[in-house]
Amino acid sequence: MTFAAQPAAAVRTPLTFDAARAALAEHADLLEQEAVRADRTATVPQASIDALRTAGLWSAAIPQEFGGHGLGAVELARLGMQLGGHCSATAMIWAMHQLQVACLAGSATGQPVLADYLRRAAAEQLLIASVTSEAGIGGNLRASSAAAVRLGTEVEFEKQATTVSYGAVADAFLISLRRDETASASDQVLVLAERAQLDLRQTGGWNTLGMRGTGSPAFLVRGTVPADQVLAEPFGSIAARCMVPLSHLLWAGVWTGVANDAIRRAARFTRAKARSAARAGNPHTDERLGQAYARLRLLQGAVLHFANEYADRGAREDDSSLTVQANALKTAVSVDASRIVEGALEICGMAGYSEDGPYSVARHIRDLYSARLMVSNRQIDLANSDMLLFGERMFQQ
Amino acid sequence: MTSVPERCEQVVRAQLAAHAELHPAADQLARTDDLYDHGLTSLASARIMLAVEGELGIEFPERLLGKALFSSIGRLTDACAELVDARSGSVTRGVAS
Repeated sequence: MTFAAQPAAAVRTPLTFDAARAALAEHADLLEQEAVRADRTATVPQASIDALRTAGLWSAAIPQEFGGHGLGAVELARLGMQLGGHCSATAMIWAMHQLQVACLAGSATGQPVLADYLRRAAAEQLLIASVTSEAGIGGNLRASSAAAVRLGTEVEFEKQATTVSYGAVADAFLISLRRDETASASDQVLVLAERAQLDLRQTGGWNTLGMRGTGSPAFLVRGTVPADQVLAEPFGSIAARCMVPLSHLLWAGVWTGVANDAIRRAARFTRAKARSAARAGNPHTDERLGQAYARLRLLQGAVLHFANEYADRGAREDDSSLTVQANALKTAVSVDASRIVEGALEICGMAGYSEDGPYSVARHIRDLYSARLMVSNRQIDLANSDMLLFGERMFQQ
Repeated sequence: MTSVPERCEQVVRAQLAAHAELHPAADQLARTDDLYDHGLTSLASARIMLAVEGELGIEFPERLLGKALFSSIGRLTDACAELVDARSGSVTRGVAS
């Protein structure tokens, strides 16, 4: 292996995008085996997480000044696609973690405690999970009930989160809370808390149709952290500038990667069928493969187009057109990726319906049904419909 | 007795003649001539792949599949011969080579 295990605190040389892709490719077989096991057991693919740690890939989005690789939106999206083709759970965990470090990085320049944490996260390849969901608020990212309660130089909080992906194995958490007990539901802050600073209680199970390896049960999250672990930038601004556009981009990339693997399997199936047809003296192929691939290309193009747009423009808080585009990417890709995999299923027939074998697309289908639910499409489409009433700017071509 | 490489080259040339319109014709081309420069298309190469596989009872592994495999008669013939040898194993390897 090119990337030998390094001492935990070693300063890593930043990986170029090509080196990151190559490092990932080295672990492809392991990721694919673990994907099956994680899905069967509904537990996080720990061996894959460890492999990405060895390869140094958890610090992909951490800026180089904090010891990360400093990869941009396009590169992150493409890595997410690549990972999604091997293991949807590892890919989704990776994408969600990159999102957390990207949100932290925005505040780190002005907050030494966050900068120090990012340096440690890069050196030790730490894993950060998100605690934005909350019981009783209807899945709205921009509303919280639990508050950050100021006690001298510390803040205290207690939040009942409905889904905390990879919560059982994360080293730290970014928790959205009301600014204080008197703040309105949408006046939120993000708080960084390390595992040792928290009392974490898993309060629900995780036995789902798909994305079983993300290990995303409910947790009661209680803790006390120094006040300088509260991100100074309001959560509303972080969400608009980074969390919403980057999450939708990276998720869409992962889903597209899952669909790409399903079409690859359909191509292998079609090749095998073409071979038997040729042997029987009746050569023919299946036009549905070409049709499904054409639809896949549209999705890949949409993901990369948005990635470029996000990288070029950056996201400003007042840039609602970028939010609308990110939202549109999420709702469109989440549904169309499923349809593309359904196309692969029809091509592969019973071999695709089987949970086993090289032509199985069963897990792909189950996993992708999560896409329309993780932040429900209905809510996002409603928000977009509202924003699209505001003017002609969204229709400039 | 025809050797494996000879037999493979015969099959390759015959299937090129049957499935591609090459200029000059497949039996006039040298082993190293670039087939794409002489009129081979990607579409035709997919058909040639299936036909050659059927004739020789082999399957090109995925890592070999691609434009480069069909770039010349020599390249395609060598790949075929290797697969035929691998299939027949040690029993016939000595005879073939």
